[in-house]
Amino acid sequence: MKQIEWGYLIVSYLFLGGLSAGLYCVSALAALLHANGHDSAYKRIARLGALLAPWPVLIGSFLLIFDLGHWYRFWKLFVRLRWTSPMSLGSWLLIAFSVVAFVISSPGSRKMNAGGYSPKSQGNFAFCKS
Amino acid sequence: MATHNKRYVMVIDSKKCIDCKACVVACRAENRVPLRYSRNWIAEEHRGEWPKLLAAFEPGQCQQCESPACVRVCPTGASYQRPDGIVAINESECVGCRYCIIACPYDARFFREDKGVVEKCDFCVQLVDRGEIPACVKTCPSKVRVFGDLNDPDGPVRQLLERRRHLTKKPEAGTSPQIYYLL
Amino acid sequence: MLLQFLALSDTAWYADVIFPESTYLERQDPAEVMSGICPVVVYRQPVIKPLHDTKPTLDIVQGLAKRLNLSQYFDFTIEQWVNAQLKELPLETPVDYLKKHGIYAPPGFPKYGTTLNAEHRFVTKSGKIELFSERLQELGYDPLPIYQSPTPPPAGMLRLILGRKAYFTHANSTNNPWLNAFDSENRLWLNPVTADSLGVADGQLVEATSTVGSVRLKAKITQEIRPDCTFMLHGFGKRAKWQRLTAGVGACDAQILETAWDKVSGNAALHETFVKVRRA
Repeated sequence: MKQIEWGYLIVSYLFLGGLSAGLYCVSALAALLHANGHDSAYKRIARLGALLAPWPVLIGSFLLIFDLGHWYRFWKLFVRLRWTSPMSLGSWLLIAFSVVAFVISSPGSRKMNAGGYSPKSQGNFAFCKS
Repeated sequence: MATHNKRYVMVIDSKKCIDCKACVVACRAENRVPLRYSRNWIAEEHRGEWPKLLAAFEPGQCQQCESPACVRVCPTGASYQRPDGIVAINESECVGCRYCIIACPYDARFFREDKGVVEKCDFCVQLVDRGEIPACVKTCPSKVRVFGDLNDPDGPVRQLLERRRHLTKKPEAGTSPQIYYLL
Repeated sequence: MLLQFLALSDTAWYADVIFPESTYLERQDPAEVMSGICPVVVYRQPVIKPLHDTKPTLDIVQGLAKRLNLSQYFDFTIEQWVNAQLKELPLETPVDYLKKHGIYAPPGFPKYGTTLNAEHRFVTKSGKIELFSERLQELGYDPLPIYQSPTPPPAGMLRLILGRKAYFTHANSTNNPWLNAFDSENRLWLNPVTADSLGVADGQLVEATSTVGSVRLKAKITQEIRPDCTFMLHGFGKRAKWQRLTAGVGACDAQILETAWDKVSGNAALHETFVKVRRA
């Protein structure tokens, strides 16, 4: 079997993708615990996680695109979904995750508003201190 | 005129191979493959101690599988199978993700750094579509390779396969390879 | 020394003047007869225009003749030459026929026991094919060739075998980049038994010396050579700098090859050299 050597782009993507997934999971878990009436440390973790989660995977996705032989043809990956192709499935799952993560991290989302966070009265990262 | 569907295959009689590598050079010339890559190759086997020695040569290339793993894993459809069975690559659709290189059980694919796409043997479709035979078949001085339509009952391929014992490479990979090696 | 040549070979390197000739794909040649049991007339016509500033043979000869004031002997075109050659063929329009078919083979197929011309006699004493040659006997040779096994090499020496690989044509295609990629340096083949006794490891530089010269190249240790023989691939270690891929790469067999020929046929005997091999 041919041994493919994955370069730093892929290695970094794997790390960043994992980081996003981890942030998202921890944030979701914290939000769940907060909703069950625990103290505000969970709230802060839920917010921080939700806010940071989309970014590493976004950077990672760009790394993936630049690992392609033709980065500017990456849109061809989203012309159709091919169930038998791990690459195709993976691309769509990345998009799906990123969309969900961004929606949740947006100021309008319920999770971000839980606990009275107001972007008008505080700076972007001020909630970390509260 | 033939009324059946064509299924192009190749029969290889490795015992006739003299390792002249004319097929490798002809392929390079016909398909403009740069020197650092190759769509086909001659595998060598050397065994024994003097004076009891064995040397064997076996041409290798894309096995033009009936259910190609490379086509299955391709995210864009750049790797595809034609109705005549030939597995080919549409270069302009290839994004260069190289997943197919890993999927191929025969190591028949390579990544062209200069073009950013994956390449492999496609039975010289540009020649086959003109009614000619692949460059490696045409050039072989010892007539190791026979190219033709498996579904043609009177064709040279069927004649050979009915007369001679043969095998395919790594059938356990489940891709149903269509290069037949005579024993 | 004058030379007309297709490739800037070692022979060209030794020449004083080189006339670059067009390749066989670029030139019209005089018709050629290929003799044999089924003789044919071969017609060579150009399929492409010369890629470089080269000339066909006749142009080169005519140019030289002009300089030497001998033009009157070469005042014809290649077409006139070929027409004159072909006019005796039993065809109505021989030139058109050959332009179309490339070769002309006389009709009929030879039969065993007969010659095409019933009066034909071979240049032997009996006029026939001789298995037992009285003439050879008179000259002191075996009248019927007798097998003689090769002399074993003297102690500490190896018989040098020359040869080629299927993808190289003589010495002139080793510099072709596509072919050179298959084998880019020749090495001296040694049986492991021989290599052990010489203390040579695979890839180590060795020196092979005969009575006429000495070359240095890397050793290749392989079972595929007899312990009393050694082999090196033909066509490497060239002098001509123009042979970019093979100039000074590996070693040239001609530098250590002793002169030997078969006394009856006159053919060059290329495997009659004994060499001494040692670590370099």
